[in-house]
Amino acid sequence: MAQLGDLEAGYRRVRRDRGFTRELAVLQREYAGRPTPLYFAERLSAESGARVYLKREDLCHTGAHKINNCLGQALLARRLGKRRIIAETGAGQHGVATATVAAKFGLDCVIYMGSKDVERQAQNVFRMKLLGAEVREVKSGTQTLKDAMNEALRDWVTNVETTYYLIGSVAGPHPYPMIVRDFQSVIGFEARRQVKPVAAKGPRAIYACVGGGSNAMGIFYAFIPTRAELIGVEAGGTGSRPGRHSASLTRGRAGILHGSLTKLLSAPDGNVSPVHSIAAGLDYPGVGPEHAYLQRSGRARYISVTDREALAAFHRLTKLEGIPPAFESAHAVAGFLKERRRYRKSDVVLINVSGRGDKDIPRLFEK
Amino acid sequence: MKKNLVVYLTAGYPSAGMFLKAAEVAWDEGVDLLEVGLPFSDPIADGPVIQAASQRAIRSGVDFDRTMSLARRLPPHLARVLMTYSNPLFVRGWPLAFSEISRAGFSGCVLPDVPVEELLPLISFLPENFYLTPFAAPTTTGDRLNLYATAARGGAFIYLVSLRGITGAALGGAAQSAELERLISGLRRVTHAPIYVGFGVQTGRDAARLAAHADGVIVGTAALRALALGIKPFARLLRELRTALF
Repeated sequence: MAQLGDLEAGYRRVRRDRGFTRELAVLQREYAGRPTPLYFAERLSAESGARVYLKREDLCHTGAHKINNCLGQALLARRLGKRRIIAETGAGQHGVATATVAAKFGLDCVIYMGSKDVERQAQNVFRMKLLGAEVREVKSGTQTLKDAMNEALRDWVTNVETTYYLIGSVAGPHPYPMIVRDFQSVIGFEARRQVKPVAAKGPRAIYACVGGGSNAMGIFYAFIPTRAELIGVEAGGTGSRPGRHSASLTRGRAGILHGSLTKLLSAPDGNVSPVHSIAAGLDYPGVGPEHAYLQRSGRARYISVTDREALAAFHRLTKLEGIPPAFESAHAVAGFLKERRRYRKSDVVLINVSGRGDKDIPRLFEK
Repeated sequence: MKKNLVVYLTAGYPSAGMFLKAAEVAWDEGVDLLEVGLPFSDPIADGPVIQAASQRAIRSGVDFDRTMSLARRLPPHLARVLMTYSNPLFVRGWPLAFSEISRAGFSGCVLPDVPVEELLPLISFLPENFYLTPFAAPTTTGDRLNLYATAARGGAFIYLVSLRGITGAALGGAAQSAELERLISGLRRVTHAPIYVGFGVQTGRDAARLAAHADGVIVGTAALRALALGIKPFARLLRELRTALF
């Protein structure tokens, strides 16, 4: 608790520090490749009957939006004098982004990853090792993201003085949801600027996938004061029974996990339910607490799409635009396609393509 | 001065019968307080031994209701507290959960994932003669000690985590003892609540060393490990600990 207090104090200090902001801006531009384009998806628009723009986070260094947060937090870790970084990862995108910034800043790096994910995302495990990170396989519990997070928390309490825990989503105890939201909000602030010339009144709607919720929070945040409809798309998996999906907001209830009170998939006895999604990055039984708040306040709306719908959307986007999205991001595309009849031809719709599909393509061969 | 011995057992582990048997042995061996673990799927403060015990208990059907009914069959005069994480109680609703736990004979509740700041608002939900135990750790800073004084009411003890880490981890040496001593004297300045030290206590020697400045020790991982070998090794461990704490 004292450490979380220190972290918050340290974070508030650097947010006011011009030097920090400038350093981060330079890294975002020259290292991560920001700003990412807002791309008019012409053929998808013609097919779906709205003007669809894709926010191309898939073009970021390391292939997903995760780098935005990692750069910010690695700089913060350095300011706090921490030489060792730990992180949890599901799909491996956050692990790769963390290992990348650790290599760049010369920090020791340990990544916790569930055994099941290690198996499903072998390529990312290899990438992390190439980058000099140690990947620790987590064999406890359901052997996925939440167990990796449990293990990272256990490491953190053991090595708290030397170690910075770089959480990858807008989840976990305060101040993490705030820190990650702030570092990811660059997505939305860029998009707001970029969409102005084509939609003076702003976009009609914004779609993003939600697992823990960092890319969605990243693009939503800047638009909260606007009239844009915000839609988060969760993983409906293969059915509505517990263990077949990971739709915490649409099918969960209030619960406490990893230091936050949020919507959670849990059994009546309070134990956390197993979850499933074709996209390992959405495979989390909780969700960022601010999403739970946006849902309750009515500012954002959350829906779910099935594995099958996400897969179909993956193929649609690949064929129509030549952009294979990550399976996670394919959920956002699928969510829009499901609701396309709500929109008129003149409506501008934004979809956050949070990551690229390269990591998932090998799995298409398996089936 | 005699120090208190607190023993942790996961409810229904290794089986309902063995759990009850172990509790009887604990009573016979002079254990002062039994900490009963209601198993939770994501025990972030626990090491591999208690994690494995929790998973096994959950698989064999141990949940809130089952834990309460097991608790009613414990030796009647053996004082007991319930250890669990926040979600199993939160989903029942705090006031209902606390009153059910209290009715099953527990004198309090130990919630390792609830920091003392978050414990304070829960105090208004407590039934009479029921307490919540705040956790202090080597990383606890002096400015928070007053919160412990406020939280440790109604007969509560303070759970002092001996080390930076999780249950069952390796203890440190003399530096650790000095650090704990400083923390204990800090707590003593603000509260009269008893202070029990836990995490990493394996042997009678560990217990004697850690109890030197505190009011007692809590033994969990070592107890479960002994119990997995059988009732006899479990009884032997308790005797060793008990002797060391006089």
